Amino acid sequence: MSETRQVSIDPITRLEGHGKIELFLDDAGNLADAFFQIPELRGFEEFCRGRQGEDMPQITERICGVCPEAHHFASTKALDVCYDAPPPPRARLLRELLYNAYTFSDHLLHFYYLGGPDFLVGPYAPPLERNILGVVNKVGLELGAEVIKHRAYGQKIIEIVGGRPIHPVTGIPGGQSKGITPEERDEIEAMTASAVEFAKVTLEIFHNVLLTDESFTKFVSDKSQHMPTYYMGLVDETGAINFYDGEVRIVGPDGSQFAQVGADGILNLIDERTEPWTYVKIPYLKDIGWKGFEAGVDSGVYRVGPLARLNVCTQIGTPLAQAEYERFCEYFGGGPVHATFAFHWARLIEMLSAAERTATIIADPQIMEGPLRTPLGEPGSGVGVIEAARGVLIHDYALDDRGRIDDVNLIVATTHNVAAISLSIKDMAKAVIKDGNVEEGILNLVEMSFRNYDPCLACATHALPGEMPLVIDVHAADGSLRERIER
Amino acid sequence: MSALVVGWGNPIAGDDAVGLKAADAVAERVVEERLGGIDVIVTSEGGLRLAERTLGYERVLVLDARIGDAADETLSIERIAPRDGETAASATRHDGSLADALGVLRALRSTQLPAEVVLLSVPIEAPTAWSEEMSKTADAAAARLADAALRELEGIALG
Repeated sequence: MSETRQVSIDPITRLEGHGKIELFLDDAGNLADAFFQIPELRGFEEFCRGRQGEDMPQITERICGVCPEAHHFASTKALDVCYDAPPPPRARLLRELLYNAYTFSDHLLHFYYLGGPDFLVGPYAPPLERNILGVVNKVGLELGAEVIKHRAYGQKIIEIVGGRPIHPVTGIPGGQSKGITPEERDEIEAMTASAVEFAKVTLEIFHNVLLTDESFTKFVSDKSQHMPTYYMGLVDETGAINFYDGEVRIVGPDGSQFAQVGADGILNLIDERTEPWTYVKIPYLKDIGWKGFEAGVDSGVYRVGPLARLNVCTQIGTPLAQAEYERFCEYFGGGPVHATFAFHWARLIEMLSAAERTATIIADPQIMEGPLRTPLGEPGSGVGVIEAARGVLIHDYALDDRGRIDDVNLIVATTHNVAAISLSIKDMAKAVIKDGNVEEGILNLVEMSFRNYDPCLACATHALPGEMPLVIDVHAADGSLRERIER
Repeated sequence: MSALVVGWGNPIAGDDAVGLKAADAVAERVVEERLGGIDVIVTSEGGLRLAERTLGYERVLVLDARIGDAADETLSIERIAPRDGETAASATRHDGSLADALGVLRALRSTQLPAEVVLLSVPIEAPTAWSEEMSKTADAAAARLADAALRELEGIALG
């Protein structure tokens, strides 16, 4: 006879990737364990095998309906390596410009539309108020127009550089298929200047509204929501954050460097574990080993994403975001920062940095001159690593002698974070489920715990019904359904 | 009057591409018959991005798949109204349904929201593997979907 009870948070989702949260209670009605599942379509490797390598940037960007740019360029970068054809400076700048516009736009979306309402409006506010409408009511109607305008700016830059409004097509092995015109450059320049100002305004809102509000700061300071793990992210040769390129740096819970390797070395550092309850392979640091769903220096669990990137870098690399990063470090008394709710602040620092970076890149005269493509060598194998908005994305390809895909492996950001997300859910559920009593607010509080990571579940299709409600099933010890919480 | 026809789906998830294929057929007719004022796009983007694409159009038709009994030849036509609130009740927090996304844009006082968004959908079996091939059933459904879209467009085209 089982001595645990099961609480299922089971989204009845659109087909496009859905998650399920399993909470297991012990006999006393307290949390025993928690797992975060991501069912997915299977057989992607087989689907790709035999295709021409250069088709992969267009194929893989269809995996995700939210961040096609990340897959497009992770794929392109892998092909650069496969063909020993590093992109010339002009092409690299174009890619980085598009990519920083994507990062800016994605982080903006999360703060205003998705994660921010929890705190700007309040985590215990009624769901009908805890949304963008509540945000507008709180910070002013004029902000709404600015949000729409700057989302559109991000999309416009992606369209200009990426060659079409939806799903970029300009990334090719060894470079870019097209440049930009002087008129387009001028248009982008104006948009990036505005983006920097808007990112500054957003951080002011964060400071004035969130950092002065106990409903946010209590989650940041609550030690039960701090998780000392390893962290992984890309850094450039100066140790600064770089979303597009760099070496993979991993630091331990104490901040010391665990490893720093090029893209081709990353797969030697991690291993993947299978669990019977999920199709997703759970990565962990091979040399530390898998010790179960545990944080700490002896556990191979690591995190990626905005907080991880701030924890692995030694500087941000752009002046305004650097100043904000220093405030961040001062607030927490130095790094690494283990407060999971600090992801939100880290995300805004990155949003500012991405905006600054676009402004710097578009002002670089090299973006208008020079070759766009390096001649290709013979096909081989290659790994492309990039920072998706939500963390490290790895594309690993092997091409045959005719340039066809012989083998492929993708490790997406949310996969890196699966173990950590499970732990965060567990931490939160432990705090809110006591002696069999499931608090009314558990649904949103548990959501908030994984919303920090901005997990990407939207990696398959877009079939109806297009809804992603959450349901919590609370099962008694005998397995019977005791109550269901849904909305 | 300006209209946007959106084929929505994933071209590498089997029958989920039914909306894309239908949109391709609509695009051909738009070109052949030189219908003005109609743009056709195909996309695999999420709801929020898609909602942003609709700004500036007066009428939007979204052609999509829905999970159901693929043998059922019923074609669903529904008006999508912007929905306020509840956007936090989602498993995926960096995206939302089209109705939620339109609600977000309305809340932000967008002045460019389309007057009408119509969702036309046909049932498909849930894809279980990656594929660029659609079933014959889905092929036929795509043709019905395209015909229905063209009927909806009657009276919009500027000719």
